[in-house]
Amino acid sequence: MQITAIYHAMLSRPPREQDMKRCLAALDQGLDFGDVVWALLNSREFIFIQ
Amino acid sequence: MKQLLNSLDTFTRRKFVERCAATSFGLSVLQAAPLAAADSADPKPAAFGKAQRVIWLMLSGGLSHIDSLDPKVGKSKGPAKAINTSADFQVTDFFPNFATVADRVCLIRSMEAKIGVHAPAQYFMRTAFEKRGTILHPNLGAWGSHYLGRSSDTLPSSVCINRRSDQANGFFPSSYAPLAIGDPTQGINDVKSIGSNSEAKKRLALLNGLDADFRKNFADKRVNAYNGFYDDALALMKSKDLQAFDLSGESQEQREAYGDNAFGQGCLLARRLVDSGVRFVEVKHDGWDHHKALADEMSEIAPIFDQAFTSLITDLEQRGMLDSTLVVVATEFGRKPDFSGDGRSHHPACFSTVLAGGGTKAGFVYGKSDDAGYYPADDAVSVGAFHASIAYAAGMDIEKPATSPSGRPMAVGDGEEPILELFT
Repeated sequence: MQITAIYHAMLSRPPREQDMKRCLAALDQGLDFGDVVWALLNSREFIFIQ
Repeated sequence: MKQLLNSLDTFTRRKFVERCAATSFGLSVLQAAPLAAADSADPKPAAFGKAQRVIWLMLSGGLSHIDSLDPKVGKSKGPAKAINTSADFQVTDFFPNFATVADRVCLIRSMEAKIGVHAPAQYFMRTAFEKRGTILHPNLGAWGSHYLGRSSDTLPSSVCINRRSDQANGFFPSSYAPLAIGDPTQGINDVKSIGSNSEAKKRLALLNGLDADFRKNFADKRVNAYNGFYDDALALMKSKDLQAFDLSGESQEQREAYGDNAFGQGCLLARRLVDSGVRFVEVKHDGWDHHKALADEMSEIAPIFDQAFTSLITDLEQRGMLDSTLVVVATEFGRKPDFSGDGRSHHPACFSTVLAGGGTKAGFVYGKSDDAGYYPADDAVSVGAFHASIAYAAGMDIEKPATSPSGRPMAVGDGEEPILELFT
């Protein structure tokens, strides 16, 4: 739910299955939602898609 | 859910990127570029390539040539007196320290240009091209990266101090843009990763994982350039060369010698950076636009430049670096010979610039202006020839033009020839 919201807010698309898996794995490793936001902020997708 | 999304709408993604641009483009470190092959059949004169580094001091606003380096008598004369220098020429008494190192500089009194509006004139002075249409032109730092490759494994090849990194890489990839330092005493901000190293590594792995598909599907050169920034930024974060950005490594005495202000400390930082492998550094100095109260404003601002410039020249010389470092003093235009009694307006038709070190003749004046200071009387120097001369000193093989994205050949200084008389 939160990950879907973050994806909508930042990339205007829902997370793909693969994205969701990676995010959940990262959360399991001790990262938090802030880190997910950081990763998306720094993604080339965020920077380049108009 | 919908409510959540709406609440996020106030700050759009695009706006966010725009606001971030100043800082994120600041971290634009060069990618390796192929070295221009040396043409062994065509031996270059000794001055070619002597300037391994260039420090470009940009006096923003328009330095009045008549009130600084080209004093006049009669109607054009301003509030200052002419004084003798250690070389065979005079400057005004706003620049007493400069006068003591005049025998180390090569003064050009016959610069000419056409643009009398600040922003386009600065663009022209930094790039030697007029801004027309949509194409952007590179500054000499970017040309250096094009011809000579990167100047350091970890540090950027081009840095600009006290300004943003616009008017720089031009049509070259943004990896040729300078690293921008807003405040020289702060050095680079935010180079320490937030949280522990292991957290940072995990975050980075997440980023690369989430972004992998996009990078694969859009392997555009602009996207690749951005990947390069990240790699270079990470290399820089780990590098011991980061100390070059930290002025606290200088003695208090040295810091005071340059002047306790953004320009003075910027010049000191420039010296530290070129000493550590940065090829091109611009230090900008605002406040030279004296339409009114010229006498008062000059007596405030001239000493800042006078002290910093003189310390820079002396410091480079004492370190044995002056011969291999070219110091450039540039401005966007001169100021009108007609003195209102209060100030002067813009005058691109004639102005003065300075080169020092890097194989230039010392204590030398090239060109002269007419009696009033209106137009060059002898040996007029275009901004293109000025650029070509600096590029020549820096060892760029400018006869081989680059190609702009639209397929047009583009040369340093818009194809003008270097002025060889400036060099020993």
